[in-house]
Amino acid sequence: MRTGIIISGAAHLLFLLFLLIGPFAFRPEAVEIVPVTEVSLMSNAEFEAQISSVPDVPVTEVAPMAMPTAETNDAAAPEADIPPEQTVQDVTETPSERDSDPDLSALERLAQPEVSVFAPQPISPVVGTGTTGNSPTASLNAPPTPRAAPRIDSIAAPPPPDVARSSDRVVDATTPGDTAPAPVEEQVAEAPPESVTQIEPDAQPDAPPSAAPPRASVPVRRPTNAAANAEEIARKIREEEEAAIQAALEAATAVPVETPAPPQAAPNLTGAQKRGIGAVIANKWNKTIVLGKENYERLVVRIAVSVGPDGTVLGDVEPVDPANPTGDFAVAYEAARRAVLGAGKIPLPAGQFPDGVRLILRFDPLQGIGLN
Amino acid sequence: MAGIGKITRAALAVFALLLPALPAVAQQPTLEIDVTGGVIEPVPFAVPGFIPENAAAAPVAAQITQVIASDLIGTGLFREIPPQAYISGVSNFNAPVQFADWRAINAQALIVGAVSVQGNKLTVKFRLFDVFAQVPMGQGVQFTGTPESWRRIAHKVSDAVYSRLTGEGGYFDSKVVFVSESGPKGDRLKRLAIMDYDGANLEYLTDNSTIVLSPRFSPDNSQILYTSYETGEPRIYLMDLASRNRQTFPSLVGTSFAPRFAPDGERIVFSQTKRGNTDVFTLDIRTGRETRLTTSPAIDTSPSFSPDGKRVVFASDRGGSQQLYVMSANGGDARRISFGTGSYSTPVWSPRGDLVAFTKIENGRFHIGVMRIDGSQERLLTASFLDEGPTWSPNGRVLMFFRETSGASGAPEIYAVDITGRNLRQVPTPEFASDPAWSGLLK
Repeated sequence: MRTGIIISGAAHLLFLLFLLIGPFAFRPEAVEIVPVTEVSLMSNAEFEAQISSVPDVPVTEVAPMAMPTAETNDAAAPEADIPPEQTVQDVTETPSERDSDPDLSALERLAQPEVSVFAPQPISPVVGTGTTGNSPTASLNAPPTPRAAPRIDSIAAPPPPDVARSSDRVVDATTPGDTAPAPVEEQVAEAPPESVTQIEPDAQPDAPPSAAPPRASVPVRRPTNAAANAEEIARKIREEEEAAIQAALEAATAVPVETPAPPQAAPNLTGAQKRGIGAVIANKWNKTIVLGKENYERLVVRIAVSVGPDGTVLGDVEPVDPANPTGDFAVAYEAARRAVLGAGKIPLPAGQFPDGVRLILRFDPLQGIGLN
Repeated sequence: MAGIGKITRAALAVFALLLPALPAVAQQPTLEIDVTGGVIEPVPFAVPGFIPENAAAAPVAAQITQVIASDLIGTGLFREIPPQAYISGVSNFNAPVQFADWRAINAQALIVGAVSVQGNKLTVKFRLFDVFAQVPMGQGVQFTGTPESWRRIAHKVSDAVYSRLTGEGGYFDSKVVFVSESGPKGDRLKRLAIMDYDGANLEYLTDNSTIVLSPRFSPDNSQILYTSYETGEPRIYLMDLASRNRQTFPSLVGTSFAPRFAPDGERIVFSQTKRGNTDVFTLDIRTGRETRLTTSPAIDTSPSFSPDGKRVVFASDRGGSQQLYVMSANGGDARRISFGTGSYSTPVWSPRGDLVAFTKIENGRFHIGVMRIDGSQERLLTASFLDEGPTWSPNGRVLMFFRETSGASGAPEIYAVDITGRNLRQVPTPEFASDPAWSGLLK
């Protein structure tokens, strides 16, 4: 009995210790994240077609690199210091003529897609089940849908001309022993004395990376049928050329129609400037006769006047609203007209209206009433 | 297009592109600005002396110029620029106007005229110019008449100028008939008088041997109706202004007063007291047929026809206090149009047909007021110890009435006021004056 109690107590004690120090002593192993690469399968025909057409890789001229030099140090050479193996090229290739660049003048240059910075919008706190019956909790916790990345509609590069590149080299059949060069004594390359220990390539360093990481270019989609695509592309180029020429001819032969240029966007005047102009005109706006009319409050008129760059009133004013004032409105219009013509020069901001300005002036006899 | 070679099409396209573009119509930018404020002052005008085209016209030319200026100034809407301020003058009616000179003195309107007298024929011509726009306002006008009618011709020139500047009809060529009073307050002598609207050319139509009241013009301004106590009772009389002959209406028995012509001039409307009851009646002048329009036991008085002759406005105390009512010209139900505090009397329908002028007594004060014919938009134009008896100008823009001062020496005078309540001024008369009635435009 006593032994059992001791054993039970010890077991409980061990269990409690395990609970207390277990999370710290026994950490779970980190889950190894396995990188996944998507692989697409292609048929044998596709593979053959791919290797048969040589991609037109643009020639990039790279400055020749300096001869590398071995570092000299005091450390003892390792035992397994195998001298570099020198290989001698026994075949010298002459660079072929560069292919002529395709005529892409008729092609529409593809505009570079604009990259906009997407700021995720805060999730609306409005609670509602919505039409889908989703619970409010679900809508608040739902992650925002990712924005579709802009795609570049890429087309395969046109294939090279039919005349494939061929080497001018003529390789004659050789037999062992006939033309084999005499063995050359192995020579150990030595660095020139002016060389430095640090290798400095002559190639220009890349531009410093911008703040934004470089976007990975979308890989060119492999054409499924290169020949058919080439014909399609050529046909499109011809159609676009003809459409452009046709449009130009139609424009040339069309009856010229004098269309006025759209009115320019008016430069903004400050409120003070507008009030200044209004005050100059109001100073000559005698509304005594208008105020003597019955229902004078409805005698609101709008008139138009052209003003030169220096503020000179050009010509006469014209009624805008009403367009053909009669009766009491004619009296109101005449009072407004006299105000404009009697105001003298309009105080336009200097240099802001090089072509002058057209003013639409609204006269409301009810405004400012009482200022006798 | 298939027959055209590719090179040819390309060449045409290049040629089309090299064509000079059509010049686009230069468009000025447009700005919208609100003009607020403005000035409220009489419109300044200049009227250089009318040019006498012969020696006989010299004296009357100056007088005509003066009357025109007085007419326009009297409206309260215009202000004459004194001749001393002129930079240049007008020596020839057909000479070009030096607008810059008139603009320099802030003249907005310029009246140029000429006068000639050939025997018994007076010729007056004028032109009106908009100085700021530097253009004439309307065509020139020429009036002819006898030399004695020079004032009327001057008034007609004023009417034309006023009409072109305000868009309203004029009222200067008109007359006013009124009761001329003299003597102490308790023993007034009264007689009918007629004058030009501005107080000129005063004539007395009756003597002061009897009391006369409420003279009213006929629509053609050739006759007047009035009430006279010459028989001991108030009776209605009709006077021809040319001959000064008078006639009464025998069919009218009892006390009749406050007569007014119907717009057609063939009927009159008046109040008559019969068997202790005062009602409104009409009378056919030619046939003498009398028609009773109201039958209420209240006192119905001061009737006035609408300009179209279809309705009558009158005062009645049928509701307990004297108020204004409108009914058909054939009688029947009357609709009350006044609902303010106080009492209303002497209603007069505007020649325009849109307003009714009246006398109002409120808290011991008298007012001349106007309201819409439905009773809305009532506004009081004057206030004094005693203002009474409004009468409309021919264009419905000005009211005349008489005002009596308080006290033992109080006496009535004729005043005029614009319907906006502005330009209150006294009409000069040689004696005390009351009960004015304004004619229409003289023909």
